[in-house]
Amino acid sequence: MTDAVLEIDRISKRFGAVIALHEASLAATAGELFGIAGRAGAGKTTLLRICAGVLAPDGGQVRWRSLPFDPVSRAAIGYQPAAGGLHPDMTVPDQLVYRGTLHGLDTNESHRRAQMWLDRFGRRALRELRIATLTAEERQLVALIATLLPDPTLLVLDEPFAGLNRAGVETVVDVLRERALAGVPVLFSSNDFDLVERYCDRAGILRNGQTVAAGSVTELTADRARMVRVDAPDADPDWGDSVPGCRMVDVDGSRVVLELGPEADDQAVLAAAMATGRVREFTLLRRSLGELFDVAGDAR
Amino acid sequence: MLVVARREFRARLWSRRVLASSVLVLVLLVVFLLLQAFVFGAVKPIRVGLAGQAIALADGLPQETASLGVTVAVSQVDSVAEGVAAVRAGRLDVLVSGARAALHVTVDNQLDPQLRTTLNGLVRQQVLDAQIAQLGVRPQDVLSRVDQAQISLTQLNVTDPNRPQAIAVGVLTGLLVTLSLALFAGLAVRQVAEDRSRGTAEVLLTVLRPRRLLAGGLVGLGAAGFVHLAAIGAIGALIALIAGVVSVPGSVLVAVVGGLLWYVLGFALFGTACAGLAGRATEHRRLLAWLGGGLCVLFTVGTVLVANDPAGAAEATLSVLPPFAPVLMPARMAVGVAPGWQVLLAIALSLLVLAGLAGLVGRGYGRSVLGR
Repeated sequence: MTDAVLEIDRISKRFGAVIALHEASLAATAGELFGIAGRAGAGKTTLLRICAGVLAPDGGQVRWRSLPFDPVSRAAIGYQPAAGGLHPDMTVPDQLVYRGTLHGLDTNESHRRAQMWLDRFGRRALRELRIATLTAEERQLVALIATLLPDPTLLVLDEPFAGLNRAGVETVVDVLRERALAGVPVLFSSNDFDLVERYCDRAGILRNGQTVAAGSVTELTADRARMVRVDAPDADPDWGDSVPGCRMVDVDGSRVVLELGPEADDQAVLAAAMATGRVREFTLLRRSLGELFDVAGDAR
Repeated sequence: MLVVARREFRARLWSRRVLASSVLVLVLLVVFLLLQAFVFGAVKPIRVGLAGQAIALADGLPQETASLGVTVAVSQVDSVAEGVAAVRAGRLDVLVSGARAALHVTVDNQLDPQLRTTLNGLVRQQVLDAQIAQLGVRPQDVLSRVDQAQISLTQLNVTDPNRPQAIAVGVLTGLLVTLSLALFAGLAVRQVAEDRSRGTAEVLLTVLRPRRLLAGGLVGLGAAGFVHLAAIGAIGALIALIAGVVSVPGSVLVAVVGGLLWYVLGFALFGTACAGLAGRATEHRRLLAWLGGGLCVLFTVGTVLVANDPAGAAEATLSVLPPFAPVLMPARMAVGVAPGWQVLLAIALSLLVLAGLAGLVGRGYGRSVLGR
């Protein structure tokens, strides 16, 4: 991919006998939300840690604008770990200013930005509170603000939506989309495939430390197999297999689930079902990204 | 690194755990010093009542007894009967009555042996004066000649009379340094565990190399411990001097300065080791227990050695070796038995071990603090 600003090129990482990543490759472009999806233990956190420079890979390379990361470009990364990275003993403003000064901002500028972001999220009241007293959702938002505060050129977020309700997710997505439109690649991990499918421009799917699939969400979901659920009580038990391009994948009494091949037509299936007699149900089923991932993983 | 150090310093300096520990140590120290000054160390004078002709001893008796290390509080009573009643009632310890050459002493139970010697001496002196006067010689001339006649003395081992006091100051210094090391090296373990669980180490590692992260945390934590120990040492020293528990101010100054110096070196050693072990450990409580137990053993061994023979070969050898030096050397410095070369050797060895330890711990700290 020629317009990629962040290239993760065949990264491998091993912890003792455990292979956390094996030649995982992804690429993110400027101005997009890139989701890394995978089940627990898939290697998402290790991959993000390597992207953020927290861990060094055993093999492969992470490149930023075609060059290996150096300390200067690494300092411009905004990284939010899954645990949040907050100090419970600090007040919210102190925590935010601390993160600003860590990235070289002076105290006044850090204060100004902290106030601006708290206002942006409608959380001005948090200025009086200690981190230890915040709810899980508030902590997640403060962690995100702390990450955004230094105005990073790359955002690497590990499970940034964990603990957020639907409204919180929408707010965070709006902000991340805004940063993406400003040219900042936003890389985040999630084990919620639906969330990745719903909000990301592009996604990479990890399984057992390997990249199972990567590309635009449209591309990834275009290949998924179409299925229909049909309840035809008068039909023979194996009627579905006789429909051209179809394969029966599940039978539950008179209800069957048929997988439609690329050449199959759902209207032809409906016609075939009606030809057997009564049709109580005819439902088009869409496979989610998660199901696609599992299928793709099993196929490997 | 300084940003991290400053945060840790501020967070730990005023943390409840540290404040509570410091206040507890300070209270125990002050109570100990005050008890030493006014209860254990206070000399209770023997209350002596003088009746009749014995009232003439009122000026000389305190001086005579003081030369034997006995303090008396002399008072006059109007009659022997009144004096006996006062002894029975416990208002007097001793009643002295009668002529100077035939003193009679009344006590409730036991007469202090030193006081008995003094009073016997006074009676004999009175009798001797009378006998000399009968010979037509001035008693003062004879006594002057007698006083000049003394033995000549050769001391093979000169014991500093302030040694017991210096040993007490040394042990107390070692105890305070040990407690500070246990508390703040323990906090280094907690810091690593918390950095791991909260993800703060991950955030810091994006802008800091692992060694600088380790150094920043330890510098901040160590500085907070230094301030607490300095405050405890200063307050303790001030109270000890004001209450008269310590009669040699110089030894207190050496104890405070030496204690702080060895706290810094000790924390650098134990803090680095603990941070390194904490990065790899899964059971931090067990590690804290080992740290506390280890320091307790070091202090106990050191206390026994310092109390028995602070200048001994075993004590001197152990006090220059890094694991023991931070606990034993400040005690020996306070006692005044650590030559300069031993102190410098101990510092050099500690710095050498620290350099090796920092290299070893720093190498794997990044991964270990992430829990991998």
